[in-house]
Amino acid sequence: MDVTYPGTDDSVKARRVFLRIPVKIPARIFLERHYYKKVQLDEISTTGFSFCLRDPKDIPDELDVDFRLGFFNAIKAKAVVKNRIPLPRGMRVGCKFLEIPDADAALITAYINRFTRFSLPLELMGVASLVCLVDSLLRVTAFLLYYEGARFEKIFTMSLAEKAYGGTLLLYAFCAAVAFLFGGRISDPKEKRRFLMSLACFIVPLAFVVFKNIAYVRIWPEYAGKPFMALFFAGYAFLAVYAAFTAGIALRSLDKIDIVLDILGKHRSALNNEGGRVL
Amino acid sequence: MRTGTFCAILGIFAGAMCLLLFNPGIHTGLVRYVNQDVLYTKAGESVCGWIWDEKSGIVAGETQDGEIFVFRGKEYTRIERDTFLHLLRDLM
Repeated sequence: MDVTYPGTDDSVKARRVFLRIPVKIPARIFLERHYYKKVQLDEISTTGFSFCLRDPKDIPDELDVDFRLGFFNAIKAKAVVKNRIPLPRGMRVGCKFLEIPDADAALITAYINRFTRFSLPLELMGVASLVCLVDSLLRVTAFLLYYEGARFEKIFTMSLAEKAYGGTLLLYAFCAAVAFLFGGRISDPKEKRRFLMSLACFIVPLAFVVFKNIAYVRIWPEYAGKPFMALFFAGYAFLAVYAAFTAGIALRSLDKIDIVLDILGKHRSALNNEGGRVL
Repeated sequence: MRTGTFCAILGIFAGAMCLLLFNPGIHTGLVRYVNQDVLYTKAGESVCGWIWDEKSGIVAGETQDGEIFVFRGKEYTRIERDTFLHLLRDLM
């Protein structure tokens, strides 16, 4: 990953304000809509790509490229050759995208994010907050059933602490919902703020799950010997570990997110200034 | 994507809540179910049902099948009141 800044003295480096990853992706080159030859992409970014040719002398400045990211994601784009760098065996051809659909650009960004493991904290947060959300809603349902049951039964009544626990469950459900909804993706500072809000809200479900596990450890002897309950307690203990791991990874990734957003921001400003996409 | 998933989960939850609260048959059935008592006999059997009254060691009630039972003090070992309510309280 090269990171430099637009407007510096080095004009070549000044363009490299984006994420660029090494790849080995077969691609087809078309010249004026006619198939030219098959190549292998060596690098890709959201702005362009590069490949090597043994005999690139006859390649014109404009071309169409067709390649796949994964099995289903076919990408077709128009590109322009920006540079030809001689190599011992052939030539490295660097191209920038001229016309690429937004959906394809998003696919490339997602691919690069996966490559850099940028999406790991988002995926972990998504799963953890979703499980917590489902758990909280099941608990709210159980609480309501308990409330109705206690109301029906004259002997068994609910204490004030138990009623207050209903409020805690609602808070748990609300925070899990916000953490789930706001933790989708990050591609600009606004979305980073949403991710931070998601992370902050996730603290409540995490605390709830941890405290609930402590409570389960206390009542465990009463249910010893019941396999279903053992499975339930084990599953919930796993959720606590997973949620803590998720929060840890997300916190550790904040620096990485800052770096990537910085690069993406500079890249966008470079695009606005140059009016094109550059590799 | 996430909004869709969220709405689907919320929809299922809201549907379950509506059934639980506003369908008299389901509401009564569930509430009665969680209020079950369990009586353990000296023979090692357990009887699930609803205990109506307990006086002078004599217990009378109704089983899940609608049969009426009466046990004297020397015929049972212990009674667990509101078993499922306790379970719900512990788990929720």
